[in-house]
Amino acid sequence: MAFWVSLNEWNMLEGTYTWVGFTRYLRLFRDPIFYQSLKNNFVYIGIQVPISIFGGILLGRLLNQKIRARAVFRGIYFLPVITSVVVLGIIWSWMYGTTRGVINYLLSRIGIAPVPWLTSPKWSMPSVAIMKIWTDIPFYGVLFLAAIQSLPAEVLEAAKIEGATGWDLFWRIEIPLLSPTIAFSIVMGTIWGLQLFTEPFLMTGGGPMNSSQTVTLYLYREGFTWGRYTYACAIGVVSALIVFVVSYIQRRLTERFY
Amino acid sequence: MEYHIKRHLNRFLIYLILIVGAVLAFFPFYWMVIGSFKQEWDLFRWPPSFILTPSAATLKNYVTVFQRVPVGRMYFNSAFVALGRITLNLFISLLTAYALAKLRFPGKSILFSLVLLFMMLPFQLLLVPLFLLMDQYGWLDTYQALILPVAVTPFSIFLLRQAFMSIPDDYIEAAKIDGANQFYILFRVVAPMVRPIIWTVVIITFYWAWNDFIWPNVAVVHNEMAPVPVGLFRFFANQQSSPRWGPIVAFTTLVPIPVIVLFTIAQRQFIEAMVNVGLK
Repeated sequence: MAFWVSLNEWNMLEGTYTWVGFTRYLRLFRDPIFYQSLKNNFVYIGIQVPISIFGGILLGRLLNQKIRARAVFRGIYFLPVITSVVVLGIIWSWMYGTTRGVINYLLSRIGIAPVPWLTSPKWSMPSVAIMKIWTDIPFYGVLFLAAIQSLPAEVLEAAKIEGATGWDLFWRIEIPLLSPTIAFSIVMGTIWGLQLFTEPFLMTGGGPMNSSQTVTLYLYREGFTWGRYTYACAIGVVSALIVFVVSYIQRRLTERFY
Repeated sequence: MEYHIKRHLNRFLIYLILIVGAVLAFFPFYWMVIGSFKQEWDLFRWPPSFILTPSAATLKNYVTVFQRVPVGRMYFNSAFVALGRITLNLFISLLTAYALAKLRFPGKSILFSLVLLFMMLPFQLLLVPLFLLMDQYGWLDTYQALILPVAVTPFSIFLLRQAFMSIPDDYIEAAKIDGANQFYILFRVVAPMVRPIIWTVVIITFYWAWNDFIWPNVAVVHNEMAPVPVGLFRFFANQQSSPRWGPIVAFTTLVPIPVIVLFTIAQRQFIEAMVNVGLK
């Protein structure tokens, strides 16, 4: 089945490699909106991935303590992870409202002036990133909880006997032991970031002024709003290559952790 | 004495952070649910009210949604598509994974490399070609289009293959000596031994299918064929210029219910599945 799809898919793309197709690529490499979109993807990744993973490690550590009602906490934290992105995107758009949004109301209570979250070019991408940090910290938290629980107990015990405590234990023993999971999370987070679509599609539509346009969103717009299918295919091919290259580089950089 | 105080303080801080985090994680859901029962004037009251006044509560928003959108039909679509995807994915992945793990045939390693390659293939690459193909077949707005192109996930093949690899060949040899054929061995001998992984595949496929948006939104034109998230999106998008938030929020409340029910019933397996997916 997967073969069937893939075969057809490549055949179709070969259609775009003919002379007509080639001009699409030339156009793409001179397309400022494409570069803008790519830049937005990387800005998003730069904000979202490190914060989510770091928050995830901290949350995983907290959940690993001897606490009551761990299952309850874990269950609540997991709600954002299991809920449809469409639901979350709509709810967050509502909460992000500039004049009547609950977030700006809460901020006004601590003296912060209303922020035009989704309606200003400056804030649109960070707003999407904040919402995704909110969903991903719990995801990474549970991931790191599992990773922490499978750490070799003897090593931690030995370190404790040697007198390592608190932060020392965390930075020098746990973080190095967790590095395979961290490396993997960075690679995955980056790949997901490069494919970001549904959240900006729902919340900003890529605007204002393409400030939250992403590569996949641009592909979608070219293909399905404007019907430029071959151009959309060219974007698809180039963005897939970018995903491959970036994940290859990251894998090489983090290889020693695997 | 001092040590005790420090320890208590420490525990207090842990709970404090966990509770603040839980409030942050839960608040949007709370806001959504109470919002769905609020009347329009109550929704846009300023300052907003953080509790639902029982006397001001209304079911009107839900009634509006059910009047304007074929919600039942959409739930059926989602359930049918999810069931189809789970069945196909499980069946084909089991066969493929078994062949890749335990059978010997030419081109096996190439086939496995292809599975790994497809696993890395970003979906945006397939989006337009797949749409054109479905259009050509006249399959837009059909269940085939919603199920077949996305049914088999290379990831489940990979996961099951890894699990099968860890099963000693002796079991299979023994079954063969007893005269069992390959299908019997796969479904009666080998598959039951990797039950947790099978649950992972079922849960993840359900979760993916129920929440899937990009492909169904492209493959479906009419509301009658839309899965719930697509129906919700269109309901939302159609009133972008002047949204009536009451009904929108009521609809958003309806969408995640099946996933949350499943999650509550099988929290451990669900989380295990997500971790398996994350850690490979």
